[in-house]
Amino acid sequence: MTEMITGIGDMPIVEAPPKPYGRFRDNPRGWLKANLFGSKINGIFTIVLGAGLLYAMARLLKYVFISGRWEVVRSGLTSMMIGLNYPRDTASLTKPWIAVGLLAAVGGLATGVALRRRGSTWYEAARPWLPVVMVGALLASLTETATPKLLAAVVVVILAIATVIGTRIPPERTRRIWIVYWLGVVVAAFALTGRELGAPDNWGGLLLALYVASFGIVISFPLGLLLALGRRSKLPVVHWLSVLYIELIRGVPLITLLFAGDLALRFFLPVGTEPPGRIMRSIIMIVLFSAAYLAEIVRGGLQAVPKGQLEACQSLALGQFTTLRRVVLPQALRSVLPGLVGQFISLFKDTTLLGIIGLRELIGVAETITSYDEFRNQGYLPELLTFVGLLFWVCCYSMSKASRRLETRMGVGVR
Amino acid sequence: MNVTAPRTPLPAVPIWRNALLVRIIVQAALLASVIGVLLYLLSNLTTNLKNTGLPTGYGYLDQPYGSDIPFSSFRPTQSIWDALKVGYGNTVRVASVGILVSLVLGVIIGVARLSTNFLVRTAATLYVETIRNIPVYLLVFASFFVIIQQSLPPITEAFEWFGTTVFSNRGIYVPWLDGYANSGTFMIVLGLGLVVAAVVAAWRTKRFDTTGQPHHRLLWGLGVIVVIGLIGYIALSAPVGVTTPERDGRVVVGGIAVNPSYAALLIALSLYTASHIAEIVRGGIQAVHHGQTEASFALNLTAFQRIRLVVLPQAFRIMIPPLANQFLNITKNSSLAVAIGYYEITRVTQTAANNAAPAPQAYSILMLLYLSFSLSISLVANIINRQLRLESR
Repeated sequence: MTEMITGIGDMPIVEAPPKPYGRFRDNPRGWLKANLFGSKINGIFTIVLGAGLLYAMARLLKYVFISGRWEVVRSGLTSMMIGLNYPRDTASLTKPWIAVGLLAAVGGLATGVALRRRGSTWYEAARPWLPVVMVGALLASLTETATPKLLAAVVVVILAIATVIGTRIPPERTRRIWIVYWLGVVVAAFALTGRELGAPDNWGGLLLALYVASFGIVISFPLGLLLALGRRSKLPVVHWLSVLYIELIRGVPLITLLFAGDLALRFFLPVGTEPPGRIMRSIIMIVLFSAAYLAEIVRGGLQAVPKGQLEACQSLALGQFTTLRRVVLPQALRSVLPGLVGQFISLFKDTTLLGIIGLRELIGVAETITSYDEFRNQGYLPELLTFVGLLFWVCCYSMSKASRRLETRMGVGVR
Repeated sequence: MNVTAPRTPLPAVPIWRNALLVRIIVQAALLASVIGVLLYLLSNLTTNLKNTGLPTGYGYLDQPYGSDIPFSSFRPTQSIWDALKVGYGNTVRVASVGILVSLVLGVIIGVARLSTNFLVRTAATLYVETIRNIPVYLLVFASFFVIIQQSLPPITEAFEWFGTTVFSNRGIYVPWLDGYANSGTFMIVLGLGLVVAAVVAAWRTKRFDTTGQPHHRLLWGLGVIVVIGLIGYIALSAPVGVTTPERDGRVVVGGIAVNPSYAALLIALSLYTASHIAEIVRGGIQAVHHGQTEASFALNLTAFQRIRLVVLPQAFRIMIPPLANQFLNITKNSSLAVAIGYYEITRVTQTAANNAAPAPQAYSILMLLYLSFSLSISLVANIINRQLRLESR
């Protein structure tokens, strides 16, 4: 890592560069000259690209507000959210709402606690929630009945109340608060699935995508941690087994693993054993897949722990396990968190591949809806795919923004 | 752990605290259990295969494949092994062209993200942030089912672009080269031209090394090839020509047909990978120390010289490992073709497994093929990386 020399004594060598926009705040003409019409070529670029962008924007606006036939999204919304075959009775439909409410409570609580602990402003605390609330509002506006709108409002209220409660907890009592968070998440998962924690095969849509991605990341994390430690181990057998596993998995595409899980896994089970359900088979493969990638992320974190830390532990005669548990892992995992979010995002995007092996995730639902009698052969696919894309985009973009903020705040990579 | 010669003999280390012994035992136990589990799975596999009446070996590869492969001369009576070869070629075709297209696009967009022009910068950022956060499968799916199938006209109403290209949802027909009588000889002439060009370029480089005058080896080399090619073309009385596709009702004659699935896959993968490469390029350029740029200003280098000779070589060094990763990703993502009917190795394997081939063996071969891609790409990347590595003191 290169170190920037910023000054000797009081003499600054390198001045901080001027803020790009501040310079032109009162000088729009200067801004135009510097940013758009600096030279002849720049001017040509500006005009051509400006025209193109304006045209694209006009087309987009026309598509969104005039030509797009969004009623197809409206009528398929429930299927997009929970799947085509999810039972539609009240008891079953309540489960996802309970889970969403619980997650909102956990999220609100975490926001409130962080708000007080860090002394950040309300605006800073609300910012990560803005896209979530916006998508919620969009979805609520697309519903055909009033009940989901009401329930969405209740969720927002829960979020707000939990945030306020979070700010009331004194910081010295929040040391073990993460237990409460985990409890909330686990209870939410059980609220969805009932007693057996597996996902039944009638799930689909966003529910399936989010469940598979979350389940996958949670289960594969300990595995990935073990593999990362194994790869750094001095024992040759442990090292090479880990390397072999990681490189084998990283060398093949996820879809081949999913196919193998779907069609070949049952051959490896003891004779007469019934293979697990289709979704569970995919989750198993996704966990095996994700563990290899997480191992590499965690390895990066382990490598970032300075050697001096280990030497200090040795001089304190700490045992290997204590060194790992008390010194190495706390520092390594801190720097791993953004990578973890990134892995979650890519897993979430990869859940679309479940559609290829015949599960009905968002794209699969969209495809099925276009085969319904009322929508068949009328070219409704663009509208549905736009909606799916928007859903993915908002989720992934806001998560990656949040992870980048996390990175800056924790000073990852900065010593 | 090693204790240097103690004065008074210490009590003997008990066996369970003997570090070396413990290590060996732990590792042996681990290895034995891993092998044990694998053997157990393998025995399950053979029993299950026998019970279902499927072959246990790889002999099935010689059986007929049983289906057509569109846009190829493959016949259903040929073996599964031959089908895999066709699929391998198709994977290589989409991956290699995809790598080239996405690299060019990605470099342009990555540089554009650092442009001083506000609009250029914004457009590039918009592109990157939009595409990166959408699943690649959605792009593949949309580009096939929306762009190709829904937006392109059927063959009877095909859109003909200035009589050179025919767009239809059954295929895109583009102009192609057509060899006549002396085309073989012409190829040899061109090959010779390439050799002469290499020699000329080497001479220019040597001259540059000794005299310091600008070498312009690329210009010289290209010039040599063009001159030799032109002479050969005239001497052999026009050995190659261009055929343009012409549509007559449902039949298109001339040109070459591009598989619409291939086009869709190539578009989607290139657009997606370009957004990732753009970020790598941007990161690489930003990682070059600003002092380098300032130094090239101080030396009065032109903007082109600054970027070509100072910034890019240093940025490239940082960019190689992540770029190799993206090339690997595009190869792996080409497996998404399975959903849109482009017969690369995954699709071929899936069809074979659906017909009669035993799934465990079929997918093991598929994984081995992908591993061969991965290993060869990382091998090349490692070699380049070693050549360009900064010699640290």
